[in-house]
Amino acid sequence: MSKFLSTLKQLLLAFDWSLSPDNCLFAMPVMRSNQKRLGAVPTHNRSIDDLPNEVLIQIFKFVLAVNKDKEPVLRVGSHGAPPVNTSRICLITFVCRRWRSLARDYPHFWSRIDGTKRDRLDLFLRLSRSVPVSLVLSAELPDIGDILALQGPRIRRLDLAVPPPMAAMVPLLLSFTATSLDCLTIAYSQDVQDSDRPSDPVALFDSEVVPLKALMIYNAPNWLPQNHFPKLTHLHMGLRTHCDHPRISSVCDFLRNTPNLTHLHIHGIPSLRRFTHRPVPAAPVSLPNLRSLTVAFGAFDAAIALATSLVVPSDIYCCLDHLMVFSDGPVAHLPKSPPLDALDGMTMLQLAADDHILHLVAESPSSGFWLQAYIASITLSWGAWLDDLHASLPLWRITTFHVFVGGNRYLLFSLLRHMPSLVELGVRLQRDYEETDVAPDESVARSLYLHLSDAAVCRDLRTLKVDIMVYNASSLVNVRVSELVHMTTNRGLQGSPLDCVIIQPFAGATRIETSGTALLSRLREALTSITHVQEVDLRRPGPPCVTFGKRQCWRDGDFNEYWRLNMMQRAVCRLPGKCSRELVEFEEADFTIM
Amino acid sequence: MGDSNRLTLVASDGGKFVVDKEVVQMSVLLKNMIEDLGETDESIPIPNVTSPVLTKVIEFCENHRTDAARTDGPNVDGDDARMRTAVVSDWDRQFFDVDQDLMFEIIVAANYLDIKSLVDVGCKVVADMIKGKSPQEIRDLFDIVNDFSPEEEAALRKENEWANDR
Repeated sequence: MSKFLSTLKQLLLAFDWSLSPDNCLFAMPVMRSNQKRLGAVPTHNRSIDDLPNEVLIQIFKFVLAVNKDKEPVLRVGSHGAPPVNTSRICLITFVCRRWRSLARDYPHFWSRIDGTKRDRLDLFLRLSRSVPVSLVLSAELPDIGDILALQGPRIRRLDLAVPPPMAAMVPLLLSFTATSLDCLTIAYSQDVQDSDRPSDPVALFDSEVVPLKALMIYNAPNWLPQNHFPKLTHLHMGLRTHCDHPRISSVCDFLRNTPNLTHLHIHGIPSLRRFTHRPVPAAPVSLPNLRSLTVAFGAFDAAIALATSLVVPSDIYCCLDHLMVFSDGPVAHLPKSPPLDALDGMTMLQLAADDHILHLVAESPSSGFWLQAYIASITLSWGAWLDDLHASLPLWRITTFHVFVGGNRYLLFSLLRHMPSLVELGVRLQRDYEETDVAPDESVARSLYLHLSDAAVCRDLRTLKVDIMVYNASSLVNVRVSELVHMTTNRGLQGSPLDCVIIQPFAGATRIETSGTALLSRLREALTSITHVQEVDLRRPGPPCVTFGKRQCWRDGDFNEYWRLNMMQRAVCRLPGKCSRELVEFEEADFTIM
Repeated sequence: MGDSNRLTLVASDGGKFVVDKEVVQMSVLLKNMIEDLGETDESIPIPNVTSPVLTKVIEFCENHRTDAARTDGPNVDGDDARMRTAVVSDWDRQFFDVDQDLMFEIIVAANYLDIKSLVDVGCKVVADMIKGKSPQEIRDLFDIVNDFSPEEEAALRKENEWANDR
């Protein structure tokens, strides 16, 4: 009966208007729809119209629910403010009068506000009434100051895009009462002019203490806030590598006011060479709650200096990524790895390096250190720095070591002699140094086996994995079986036998040729002469047995709680392309942490 | 004297259903009633729910009896958490693969009986049907009458010009 009455009401509504051609057009579908409903009354029990308001509101909430995996996405740079999806709520209000009324009477539906269109901004501000709001605004919006002053106490998140003409106005704009503000992002345009001098210290929001939880300043110009941020957990600073301000000392001073940081990401830190004075303060900056530290796309010396100046807990994940060495001096003068407590417990080390590219991941069960850096000068190389690696990393603790050093056979030995606790060693070899026509002295495999023949080197070693990266399975590879047999025998006789030897002579090959099959047969027969080893595994052409990859624990979901960085901002770990094309092909996916 | 762990529900059309108390208690309404009644052999009438709908509601509760915690008591984490935790499993989707009439009957009954998880799953299923559709497609899907006047329609069209995302 209620359905019938409802239908009658709809019909009356339709005919209440004068019968203009427009109204006739409108009334016809109503009549047809109602005719259909009348016919269905005996069996048609419920429709969406029968849902109580609170259930319909719940449905709208699910329609509008933010996908946490995809939002909020912060697009930084000159593209303006991050977009907010406002179309769904508007579409709901266009369905019928009841839906429109319900949706417009629910302020939370209007609380994520995109201020790029004035009409939309006004409507959302009005309909959101007094609930907390998230605002996306451009600093050049007319009367933005009035809007912020008026809405300030209920702004929960503010994403502010700053075009060049408004750059100097930002401190003034951010002087409103921000009692509810959890998250603030300020994205200066790339076109904002650099300043040759720092500005006066800026106190935001006319307050000494600001209860922000997340702060991002992208393309930071010559100022940093001087407020105290006792609740700040997430901080992203996008600096300008070519700009002198803010200096690292200013960054450190700023970090002193953020004692509860859990996630710190600094992008584009400039080289210390730009400064004529000592840039890093002597007093360390204590960040006892820090869980992840990322310094990326900046200068190697400054990143190391900054990380060195921080006192952080031992269970931290520290990522120094895409750093450049700009020094022309001796490589030995390059700063060593920062003395992080987290390094003390590390037992797993992965290293891939050639003369100019360094990739290093060290992990403990509850911490990690990742360094990826490039030397710009062709006269320098990482060799000397790595030779001295034991001085900054506790290599003596390492039990698992996966390594690729190109043709640097001396470096391999230099590292291994500082690893007395090593249990598992995985070595990737480059075909260029392991082919049959390569002189024995140039073979990294031969050098490796000769060094390991002395059981005093890595006395606890039990597992050895060796990959030879190739493009396809051919007979050109020399596995150096005689040296391998000699090594295993020697270690066995010296009381330090290997338990397992795995050889993959065709790592990366997808098919085997006739010559390769013959080689495999010969190898299998030759390897039978190995003694003092429980298991010898000769792999067929296929994937490498020495794998590189960080553990899942690097993927900290909380890192994305307030924003997701675009590809140019993220620390993305890749093996160096110059080392080996195959390595990049195999490992690129493994080394992407976000 | 009957089984003290089971009780009888009586649908609006007289249909009787003997169910475990544990299952019934997913309904906050029935849980409170049982607590008020204490030990009793009396049947509990469900005047607003027909037998076919009550059959489906009981089926849902029996299937979700082990994850009753997600509906028990107030949601302390608030609405956002409820949004995130309302997972629609394959079983749930299959459960709601019914005529719209029955689907809305179930949702209304779940709301009446205060079974939060069933309401949430039903709402999410409906929400998924709405997502990506235009207002007219939504009207067509749910047989909703467009009751805006021509003048209002004109105003909406204008509003639509700036309401959409950039």
